[in-house]
Amino acid sequence: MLVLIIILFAAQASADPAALWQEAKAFLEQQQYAEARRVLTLAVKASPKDPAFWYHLGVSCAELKDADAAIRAFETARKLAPQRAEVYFSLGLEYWHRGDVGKAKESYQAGLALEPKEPRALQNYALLLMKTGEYQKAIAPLVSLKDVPQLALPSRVSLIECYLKMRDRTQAERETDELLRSGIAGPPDETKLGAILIEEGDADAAERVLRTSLSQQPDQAKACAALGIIVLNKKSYQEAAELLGRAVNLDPDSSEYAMAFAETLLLWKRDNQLLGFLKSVEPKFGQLPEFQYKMALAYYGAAKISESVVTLEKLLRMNPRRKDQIYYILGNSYLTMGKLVEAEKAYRNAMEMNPKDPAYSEQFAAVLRSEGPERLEEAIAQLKRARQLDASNAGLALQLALSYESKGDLKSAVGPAEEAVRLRPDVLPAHVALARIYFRLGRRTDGQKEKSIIAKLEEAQQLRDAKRGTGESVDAEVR
Amino acid sequence: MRLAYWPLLLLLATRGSDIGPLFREVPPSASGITWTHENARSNNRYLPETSGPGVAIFDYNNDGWMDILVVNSGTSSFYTPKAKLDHALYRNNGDGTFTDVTKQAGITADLFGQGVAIGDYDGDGWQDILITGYGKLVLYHNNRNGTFSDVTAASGLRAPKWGTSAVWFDYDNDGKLDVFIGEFADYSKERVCTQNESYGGDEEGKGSLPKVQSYYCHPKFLPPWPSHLYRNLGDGKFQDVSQPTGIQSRAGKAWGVVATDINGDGYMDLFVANDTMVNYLWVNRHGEKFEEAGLESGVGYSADGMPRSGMGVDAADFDRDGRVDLVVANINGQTTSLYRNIGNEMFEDVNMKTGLAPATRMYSGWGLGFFDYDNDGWPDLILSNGHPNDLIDQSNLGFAYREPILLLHNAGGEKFDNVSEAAGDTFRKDYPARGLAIGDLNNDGYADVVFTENGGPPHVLLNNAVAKNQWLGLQLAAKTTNPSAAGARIRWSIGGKVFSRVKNAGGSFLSSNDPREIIGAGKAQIDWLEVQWPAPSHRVDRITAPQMDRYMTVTEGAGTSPN
Repeated sequence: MLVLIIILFAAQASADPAALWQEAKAFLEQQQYAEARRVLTLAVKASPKDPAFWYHLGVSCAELKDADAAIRAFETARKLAPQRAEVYFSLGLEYWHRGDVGKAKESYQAGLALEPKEPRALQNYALLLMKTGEYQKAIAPLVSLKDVPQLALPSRVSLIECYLKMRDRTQAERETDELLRSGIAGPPDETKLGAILIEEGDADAAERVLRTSLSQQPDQAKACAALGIIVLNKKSYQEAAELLGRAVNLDPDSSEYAMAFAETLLLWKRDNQLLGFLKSVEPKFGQLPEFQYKMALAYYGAAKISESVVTLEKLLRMNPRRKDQIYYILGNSYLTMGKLVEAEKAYRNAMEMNPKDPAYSEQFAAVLRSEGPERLEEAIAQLKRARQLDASNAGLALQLALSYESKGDLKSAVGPAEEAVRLRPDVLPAHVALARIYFRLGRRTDGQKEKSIIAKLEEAQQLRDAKRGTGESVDAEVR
Repeated sequence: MRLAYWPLLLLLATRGSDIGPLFREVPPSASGITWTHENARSNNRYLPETSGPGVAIFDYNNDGWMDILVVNSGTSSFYTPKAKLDHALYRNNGDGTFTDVTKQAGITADLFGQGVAIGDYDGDGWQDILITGYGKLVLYHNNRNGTFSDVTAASGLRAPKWGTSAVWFDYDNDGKLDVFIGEFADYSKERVCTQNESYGGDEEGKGSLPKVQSYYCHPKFLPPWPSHLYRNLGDGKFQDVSQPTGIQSRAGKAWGVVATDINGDGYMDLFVANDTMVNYLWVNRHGEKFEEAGLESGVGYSADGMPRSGMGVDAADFDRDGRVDLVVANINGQTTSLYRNIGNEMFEDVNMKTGLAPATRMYSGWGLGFFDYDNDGWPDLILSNGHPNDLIDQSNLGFAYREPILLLHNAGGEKFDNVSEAAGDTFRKDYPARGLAIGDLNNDGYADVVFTENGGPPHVLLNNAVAKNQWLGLQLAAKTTNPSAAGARIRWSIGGKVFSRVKNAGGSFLSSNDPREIIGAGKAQIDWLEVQWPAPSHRVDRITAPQMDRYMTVTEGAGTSPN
């Protein structure tokens, strides 16, 4: 296209400037843009009304990444030759490079008015529209490119993305299926599409695309990892472990894949296997806080609690993000070891760092309750503070009720226990606590009422368990 | 100043840190106990295969030495042994050896045995045997000549679906031993389970092992079933009173059961550990009705309101406040519950505060018992552990099929210290341990232990008596009250301070303990001792300044005689 433009504009050059043009043309052809720019600067001085000189000066500047100078040259060319679509397209591209999306869009729009079928311009215009969130407008240019060689694939992918952004799942899936059937996408393209689909939240479509991609080319680390994460989110731990394990084998230096594989084993509760894996990659990733975090959880899950504590303490020295969470797990570890004082300290740290997480106050209070009656006032005070931040948390309400119950202040326990039941009527422990409190208060009728609710909850659970065990559907019962 | 060192010295001695192990295991070559349990493990992994066996320590021939009975598997709807399997009755020869007298005693019933409960149901002074099993039970009457007769058919005791722990006690205070027989669950469909339906499994895609592999079912998949209470009619016959007494009103999944008096009203209550559901505390209302009060009393669930997988149970006043406390072994992760009796039929779980929770968190407890192994006056605890799923190691969950047994020392009623390390080599090994019985096998006043392995041999642990504390052994000989004297309250004074205990019945898991009582007195003497006999007698026999370090028989209404 550049050659064509050179020929078109060369015909309009003046005689003296013609020599300059010949010289500039040679430099352009040899991609010596600095020299071309020098000569064309002389040419526009010699013939300032010649749009070709200004256009090629703009091209030279653009190639030299001098967007401002390029824009100035293209704008002059546009004023001198307002019917030349190419000028608008080049101008649009430079505005885009400079980050001025609005002007870029305007330029492409003007150029396409003159030359509506220019494929690259259509593609760029569509991408600009997508960039500004105008997905509906982007669809038409993208549809027109669906069968253009070389542009078909990226256009179809963009089209799918537009449909996804517009939450038109049906069209997105139709386009995806069409793309997969067309055979124009190679496995890496499918993987890229899969990534887009994941980003757009269409996990099902992404899974289909990635499975197709991997069926053709199984050794793609990125695809394995992406699909692994999709199936992991579906709690298909075994397949996720297989896929992410393959990703790790294909790209053993990727901390992202290694940590995703570790996460899978963690969720799968394969703690010993996880420990083995983490130890094997410790030389590579041991310095990552995420690595130490997972190591600590693996130790915890494998009942190696003292090792978990050591790892968590080490992790805390690495100044990781979300230290509150780490203190929380540290507290759980100490609690498991029966080290109530240490657990209390860890939960206290977690609470100080993040007073808004109700779980920290809940556990803190539970520890204080375990420590004995002399700590109950403190537990109650903390739970009250936490409830001021989150009054709708059933766990906090239940803990408060249990703390009052342990203190023997059953009258005060009633309110929060009733609140816990009101907030989570399907949760057994709240009913158990409330029933126990009613009985201890001598409110036998209320206690019996709760007891019958508990019996029903347990019966329903037993029914679900029995059906689950026989493979029968439990949906009806759950509903 | 010297006195100030006493507690420290006592503690060291108790823990055996420099004196040698607290217990020693007697090998089969020395004891003569060579029997091994056949768990009948099949490819289908039927759940009853993994629960047994029970063990009993009792004196079947009244020679003053405690004998041992262990229960075996046998023919059932899901199992036909290649050759007949035998239970084992070992006569204690009094010299550290035992003789297998099973066949000559006539203990030859073929059933898929689970538990054993010992009691003199006809009050003839000779201990009778009840063996529970899957789909069957057997009642043996002691013929007083070293043999037993199977009297099941005439007794009125009906075959259970899956009989587990049983206990002889007198629920209506008529002086005769009634019997409670625990039912585990309705396993009539003989479920074969996948990994997802097994212990540690779930429905979330686990299953790295081949799908053809069967696993022991998680009990939550089995429907609960009501247990049975039989009233002793006094002529060798029993009447099922489960319905009128209320026992039948609540279906459960009973493993362990202990009969004790939780409210001091003179009527024996029942505490039943249920698997995967609320434990039942059957409070005895005047020998007429049982009121289920697990929830109300606080022993049904954890302190946080969660049901657990209860297995073995026991009762004792661990903090010596005069009230009976309860303990329940649970599956791994759930910790052993220790329910402190706070009065008014209420309990609180103090397992965390006492250190019991961290010590037991990783283990699945079955047999267990309060016993004062060092005779310092504080009831200690022993637990036999082992995961029910023989394939649990392959799941990489961090749990193991074979687990160590635990010995926990009661430090002043406030803490239980894990002293297993000092307890001997046996405590450093892992077992699929199940039943556990406590009794003094060598009559040295220091309680010994026998625990069983699922699919393995029984283990005899002799107490090395390293503490050298004083003790008094009691054999309660009833005349008008129930022959086990279950429910008797024993009171004694040391240095002017009065202590008491209820004579419980049952406890542990599928097992039966030495019926005698040992009172540990530390370094002190007992000033006086009283036995308040249960109804219908209500008599009190008092002994002043009893001679220590010996067994004595206290006969109802007649005082004592040395053994």
